[in-house]
Amino acid sequence: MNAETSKSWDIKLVDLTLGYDQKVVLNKINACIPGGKISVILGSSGGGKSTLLRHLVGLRTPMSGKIMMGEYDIFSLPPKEFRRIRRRMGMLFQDGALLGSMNLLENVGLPLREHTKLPEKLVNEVVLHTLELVGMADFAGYYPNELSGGMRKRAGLARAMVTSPPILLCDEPTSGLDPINSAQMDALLVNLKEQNPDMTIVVVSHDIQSVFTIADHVMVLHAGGIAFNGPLEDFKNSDDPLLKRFLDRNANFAETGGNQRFALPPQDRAKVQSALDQWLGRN
Amino acid sequence: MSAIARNILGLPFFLLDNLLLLIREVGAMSIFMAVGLRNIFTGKQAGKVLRQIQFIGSDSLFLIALIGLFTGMVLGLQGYYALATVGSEGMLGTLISLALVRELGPVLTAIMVTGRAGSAMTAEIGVMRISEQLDALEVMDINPYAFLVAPRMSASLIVFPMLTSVFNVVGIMGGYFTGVILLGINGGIYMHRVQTALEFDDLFSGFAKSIIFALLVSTVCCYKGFFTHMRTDSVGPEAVSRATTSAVVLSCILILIFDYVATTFFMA
Ligand SMILES: Nc1ncnc2c1ncn2[C@@H]1O[C@H](COP(=O)(O)OP(=O)(O)O)[C@@H](O)[C@H]1O
Ligand SMILES: [Mg+2]
Repeated sequence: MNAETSKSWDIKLVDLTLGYDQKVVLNKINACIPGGKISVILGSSGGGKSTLLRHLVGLRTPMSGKIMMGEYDIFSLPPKEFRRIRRRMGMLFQDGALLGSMNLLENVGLPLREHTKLPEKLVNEVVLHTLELVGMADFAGYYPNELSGGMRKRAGLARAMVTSPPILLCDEPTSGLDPINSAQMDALLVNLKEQNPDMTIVVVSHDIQSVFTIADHVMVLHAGGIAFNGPLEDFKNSDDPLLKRFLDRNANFAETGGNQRFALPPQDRAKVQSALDQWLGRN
Repeated sequence: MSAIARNILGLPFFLLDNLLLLIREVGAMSIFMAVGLRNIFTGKQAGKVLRQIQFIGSDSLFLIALIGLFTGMVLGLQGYYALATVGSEGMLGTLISLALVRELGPVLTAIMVTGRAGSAMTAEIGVMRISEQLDALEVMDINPYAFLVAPRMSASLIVFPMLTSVFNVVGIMGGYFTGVILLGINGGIYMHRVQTALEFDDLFSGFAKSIIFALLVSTVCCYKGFFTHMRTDSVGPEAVSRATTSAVVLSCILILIFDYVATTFFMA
């Protein structure tokens, strides 16, 4: 490794405004995601976590502001330079985004096959090893649509890991997984980090449990802005009521369940119930 | 002001709007085609091209032969009775071979392949688009033009002329079947007419047309799938289905338009 690829870069968001067409999702945020750490981005569903990741890998350009990777302002780089930076990133998409026409062996090996001249046998060895790490080696011959959501996610992680990128971005790696698999996924990320101390891992999540297991650094998105950005210890000890809500799942649920913007009057409820009863009794 | 009057007054603007849209779409597709072609030799293409040749070509072979056979047979039938009214049944070989090689071969082959393989190209790429697979390719630094578009283009360029030849040969045999075996024209004369009628220019123009159609079909079908997410009329699976429909319709229209243009050009 040369000097450039061995050091871990901080990712700085500077006056960053992200959104779609006219709709602003995150407004003028400023934050630093420290290099060489596991950072977890928390936020409620629809809060713009995936949107932020899509911008970090350059799939979309920000409405304004910039994203700095190390000293590079990635959106002002010429395309070739930008692609060189992006090769350092691996990304696990929310639904895995595996290629549907290829089995896992082909999917996970794809970056190696496309970008290197390694012999097929060696590529397969690497792929099987990586699949083994995520516990999917027995499914190497399976196609994505023959797998469950959690399995696709793990295979997607294997594909993101196979090029050993110094920056790994994971979109909700544990959502939709059962507790055992979630814990395994967390352990996997921690393990990966232990073996590659320079690696920068950014995990998007709304799973407070995994935050405590994996995070060095926490960032909380709320209402289009950043509610918190700092080390895990500070996050745990914070007595900001908003953060407390994130820390306490039940409170969070009561908050959303309690607000009655769409009230259902009793007579309407009865109407629906009788219609359903009729349907249930029908032959 | 009545609705009708308003509609009539609005018509020029409506047409202008659509004309601008059309021009932009044509421009975008031309660029798409250029980028696709530029990537024809980028990276590891051989395996992908072979797979596409198998899908667009080999798998269409039976269909093309079947259509060719019946086209030739019905041409034989119609041609025989038309020529018989002027007492020149013997010219059947000329009629069939020229009609097939110059026009029907390239056009019908292209239209059939559009329906069979072109639609599949759009649907496949469209599904990849809406399920973030194209984004994933981009993040992996895999150029989607080189990975998806270029192989389909080169395979089409290779396969269209071949399928067209198959169509022509089988069509001429179909004509032989009706003309000679069923209706009793002299077989030697039929084949002699076929041989003398066809000149290099005819073969060349048919060949050139099939190349043009290959480019058209692969460009339009890949383009429509590639930009499924940009559709304004629909999202998700519905966008894929609309993209597929519009790719097939547009390809067929363009095939016929370019056929006319090319024919004018080659006949001059
Ligand atoms: N392609 C899109 N076009 C328009 N709006 C979008 C698109 N994708 C997401 N959004 C909107 O952006 C907001 C943030 O979405 P997202 O980043 O997916 O949230 P999450 O934090 O759950 O990952 C949501 O309000 C969503 O409706
Ligand atoms: Mg998301």
